[in-house]
Amino acid sequence: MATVTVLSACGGSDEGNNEVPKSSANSAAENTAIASDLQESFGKLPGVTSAEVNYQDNLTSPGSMAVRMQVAVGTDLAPLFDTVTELIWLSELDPLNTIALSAGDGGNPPVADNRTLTPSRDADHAELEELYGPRPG
Amino acid sequence: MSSPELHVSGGAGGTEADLTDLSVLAATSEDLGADLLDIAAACHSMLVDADVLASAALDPAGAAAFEGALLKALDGPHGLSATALRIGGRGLALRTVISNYQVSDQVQAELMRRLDWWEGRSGFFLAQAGSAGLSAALSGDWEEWLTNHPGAIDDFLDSVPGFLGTQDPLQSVAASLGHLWPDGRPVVTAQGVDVLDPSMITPPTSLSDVYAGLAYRNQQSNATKDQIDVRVVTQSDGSRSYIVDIPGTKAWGAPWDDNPSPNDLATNVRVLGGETTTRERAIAEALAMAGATADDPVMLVGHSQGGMVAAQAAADSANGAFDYNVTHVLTAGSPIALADIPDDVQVLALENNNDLVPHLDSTDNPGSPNITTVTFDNQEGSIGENHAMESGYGDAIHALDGLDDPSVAAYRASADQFLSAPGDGTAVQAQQFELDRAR
Repeated sequence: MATVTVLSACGGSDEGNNEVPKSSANSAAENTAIASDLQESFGKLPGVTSAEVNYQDNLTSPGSMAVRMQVAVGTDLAPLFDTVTELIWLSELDPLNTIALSAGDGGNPPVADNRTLTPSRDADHAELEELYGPRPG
Repeated sequence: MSSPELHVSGGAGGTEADLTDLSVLAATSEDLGADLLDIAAACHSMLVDADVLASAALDPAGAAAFEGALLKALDGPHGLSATALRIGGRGLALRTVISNYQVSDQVQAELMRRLDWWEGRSGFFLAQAGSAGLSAALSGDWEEWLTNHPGAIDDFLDSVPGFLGTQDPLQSVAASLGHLWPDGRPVVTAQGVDVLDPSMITPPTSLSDVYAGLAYRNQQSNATKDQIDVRVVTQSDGSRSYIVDIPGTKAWGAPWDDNPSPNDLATNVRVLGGETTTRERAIAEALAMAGATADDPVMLVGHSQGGMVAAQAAADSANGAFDYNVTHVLTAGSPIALADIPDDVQVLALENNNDLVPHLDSTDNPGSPNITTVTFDNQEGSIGENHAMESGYGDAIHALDGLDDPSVAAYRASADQFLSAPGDGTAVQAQQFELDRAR
């Protein structure tokens, strides 16, 4: 069972969080809820032992969705990243400017990989749309 | 991914470094001129040497020939005295040229600041900016206008002291503002070793590898969790160095809000004022918890506010307020020009010309031999995207590794103790910390 800890930072003042939402199509609370649901989904994916999600929409990280996963030793990370990317892409998170995925097995020696996409840029946006279809909304 | 064109100023290959070289040449020339004059004076004494004069009685023609030859060698048009004067004079001329360059730069910078001050005092700037801003707002592209004219931020901030009716520079105004609310005391919580990203488990081999750790940490931090990490780099000989990754501002509440996370606006104002902040003290505690001693080399790596705190910590390393051996600072999108960085700390600052944040100190970084500033144009269409590590700075960071520039190369070479080469046995362990502010 995955350990799920919401580290989402998109909450507005109603969440007891003083981060200023930045031109978000969704409210901060809506994005927090979506990120929380996604985190729960990621925690249930095969090989994932824990998942942390950090959605931010502020000046230093506008529309940034970061996912950090601990995985079992031997987990193939490339297909895992594909699945997580698709789930994020097809979610209602808005804005979504950056997707940053990291995962490691904590083995000895440790194995880790990452993937960063910037859908705010045309090239990455087109590639994601071609792979997974248009974003909802 | 496209590679932006990078422009480098300052650093070991910069103009001030050239001026430093010229200063050395000037001093050497003057010293040489003085030495030659001393030798010439000593040789002149030989003209009236008692033994030489006595020899004239035995060989008048020979003595006269000797005196004539020596006089010509000493005082002829190409003699030692004239040569000494020419070399010394060249040193003096070089020194005059260097002074003129430096004074000219200082006068120009001061004139611009004075002009902005008066614009602020008279309200001219606000009217001007208001007019331009209104026009841009009406056309719906104020953000694009501002990111295409980031110098407006410099002008505005330079006009603030005038608007407030004070002669104090911006840094003093910020320092005064910073004292309006308490900064609390640091609370540091160790969160264990981070092995969930390649940047945390792989020894960095390049500057982009170093930046990758900062980008990763920036993605994990937020308004309620001010997260940093300390990468402990152990070389094959057992020597250790420490890389600290410091993300930028995440808590955007008012400075007087009771923010438990020190990555907030209050820290921005305080550090702009040259203060040793609670966030800086927390980083010092984290370094101690990671095992760093006062002698181990430390590289501070920061985005936005993280770079400001890094630069201030470097300044404080010279006065004991940050008691570590800070040898390197690496920043992205940080206004660091006002920090009093010691000459022996090597700084590389990456600045997107379309990013407003590096302009918040209202002045250019000094072109000192130890401060290299790399600028580039990257208009992503919004203030946030221009400032973000990924969209605003990602391409430039990758381009930096391939940049053939003497200042960047000198910085990279000087950072050898933080980097590894394939197969050299270097290891890294990243320790993660959460920083809080207690009242």
